Amino acid sequence: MGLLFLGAMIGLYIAAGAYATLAADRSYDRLLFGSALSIMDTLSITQGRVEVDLPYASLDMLSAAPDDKVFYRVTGPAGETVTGYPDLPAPPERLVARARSSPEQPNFFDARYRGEPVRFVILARQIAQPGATGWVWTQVGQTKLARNALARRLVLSSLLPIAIVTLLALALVWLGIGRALRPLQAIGSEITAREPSDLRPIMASVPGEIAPVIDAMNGFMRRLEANIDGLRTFIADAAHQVRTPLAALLAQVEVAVDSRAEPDELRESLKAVQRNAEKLSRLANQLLSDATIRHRSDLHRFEDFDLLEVIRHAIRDAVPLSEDSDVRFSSSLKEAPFHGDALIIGEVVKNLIHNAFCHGSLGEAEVHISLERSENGYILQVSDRGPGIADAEKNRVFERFARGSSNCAGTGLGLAIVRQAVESHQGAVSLIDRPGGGLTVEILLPIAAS
Amino acid sequence: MRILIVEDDPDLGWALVQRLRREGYAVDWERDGEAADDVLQYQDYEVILLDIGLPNMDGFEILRALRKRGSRTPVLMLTARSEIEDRVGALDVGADDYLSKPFDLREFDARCRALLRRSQGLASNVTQVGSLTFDRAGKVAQIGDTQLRLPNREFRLLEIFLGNIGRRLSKEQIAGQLFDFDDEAGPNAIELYVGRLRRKLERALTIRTIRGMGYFAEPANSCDR
Repeated sequence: MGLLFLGAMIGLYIAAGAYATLAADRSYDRLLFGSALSIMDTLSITQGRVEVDLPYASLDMLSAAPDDKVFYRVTGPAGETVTGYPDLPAPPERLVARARSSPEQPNFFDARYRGEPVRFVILARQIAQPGATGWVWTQVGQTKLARNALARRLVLSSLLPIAIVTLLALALVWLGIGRALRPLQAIGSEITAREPSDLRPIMASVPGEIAPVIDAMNGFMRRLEANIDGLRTFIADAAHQVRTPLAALLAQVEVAVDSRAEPDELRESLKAVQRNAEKLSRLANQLLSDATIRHRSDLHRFEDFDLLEVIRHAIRDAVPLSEDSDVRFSSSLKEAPFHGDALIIGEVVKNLIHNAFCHGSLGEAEVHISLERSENGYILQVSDRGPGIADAEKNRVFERFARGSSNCAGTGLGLAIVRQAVESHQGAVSLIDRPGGGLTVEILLPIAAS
Repeated sequence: MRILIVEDDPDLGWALVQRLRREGYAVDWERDGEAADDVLQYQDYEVILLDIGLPNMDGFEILRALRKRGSRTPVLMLTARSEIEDRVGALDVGADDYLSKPFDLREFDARCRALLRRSQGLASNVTQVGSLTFDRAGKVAQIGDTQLRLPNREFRLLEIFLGNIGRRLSKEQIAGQLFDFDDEAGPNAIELYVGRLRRKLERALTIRTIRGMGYFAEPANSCDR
């Protein structure tokens, strides 16, 4: 902004200078013309000789500039110097021609004389007298000191008020902006003084131009607060879920350690300890899985991979080593190229398998996984022979920590994770009742048009 | 002393039942909120241990209903929540104490004892009647310097009598506090336990039988022959 202004000032100065020079020239040129004319008017021809009666008044005109020198010369038709300085510089040819074509009109030119720049005027008059015909030339010159001084004065006197007004305007603008922006400073210090957890909207009134910024900030803080609230609720819920199995674990251990414990009671206590330790471990895994998926969903770490590979890998990871479990994977595809987050899809499959086991009876679960192509993507199905989910419950089970009506040893996180993960791939998940009993979780994964 | 535990987690519930039964208390265990509410309507307890998160009726509702019926049974709430609002809420609805999971069973014991003392109107764990010193926390009863050998049931029976000195207690009242639903005690069991206890306590405490009405305990009079 400053450079622009400076550039404008320089331009203005140049323009003003040019104008001032022009104006000064006009004024002084007029004087020159006046004195040349007055000299020419005293022209007389006596006995064939050109004579002028130099009017000192004319030269007086020019003495208004005390430091300037004046030179003059009158030339007769034969080129002889009638009066004046004979060695004045000659006018340029074209000016001579112009003077001849329009006599009585002044023509000006600049030249150096005696080491100084001088402004000359030439005036031509045609005479036609017996004994004297031709052109009489009057040339008057003046050094340019006064003229230049005038030009400078004009520039200054025109620029100075402009400069002053501009500076005033700048000052006013600066003050005005300062005044308008003071609320911003106030807001800035208000926000700085706030607690990190304070996300209340900014209530200070601001000028209309800033309002959109404040609105955007308030909107952002609202979203951040909602996000943090969700996180807080999640942590509280998770902590809650952890406490009861932990309490059971500790209580059972203390009861087992009690010296009054009978051997069979001891065994029961240890089994209870194992159960609850597994429950806690599952919960920890689920929480980690949920957090991972939430974080990664935001990152969208997509890459190309084969769905079949990922599913097989997930099955290997998820299936416990008991021979009673029966997990079958079928697919008519030889390969299943997909662009997405392999880790998340893996977690989804693992979660569904855990859920299926949970609903099945005590480790003897029959779980069936299939992957097929659909019109615009893949269909992944995980089916179990558990009690299924009532239609009324089908939506609720997707909520975090929702307690299903079955006394499942699961943690209630699985389906929430699954939905989040699937949606981050633009997919959809649905629950379908299985003919013959059980539940099928169906996931549609569209292949993005890339 | 009869205690009701209302807790739906099978492992935690069982551990607490074990713990208290080993101390000689009669313990009943309900896993469902509505079932607990039903039982509380016809059975009295000395202390109720109440979880908040229960199927069908949560702990707060059960407590409110209990207090509305005018019951002053001490209640200890057990819960997985630890927010201050929940503590205040529980105490305001009518709980006497609050324990958040997971907890140390020793603290659990001590708080139960505190509530049991309250149900008897006692201030400390040690009760002195004549030359009989009864220490609930240490589970010791002695006459003078001699420690009495009392199995669990007799200890608890003595506790019941010491809480009702000078008051008549019927057999049913005693049975109600000494046995829980799982005990298969016959009608003569009370007579048996009272008989055994009477002999051991002769020098300090006299337990009289009021035929057809019950029993009556009072400090032994040194002048009594």
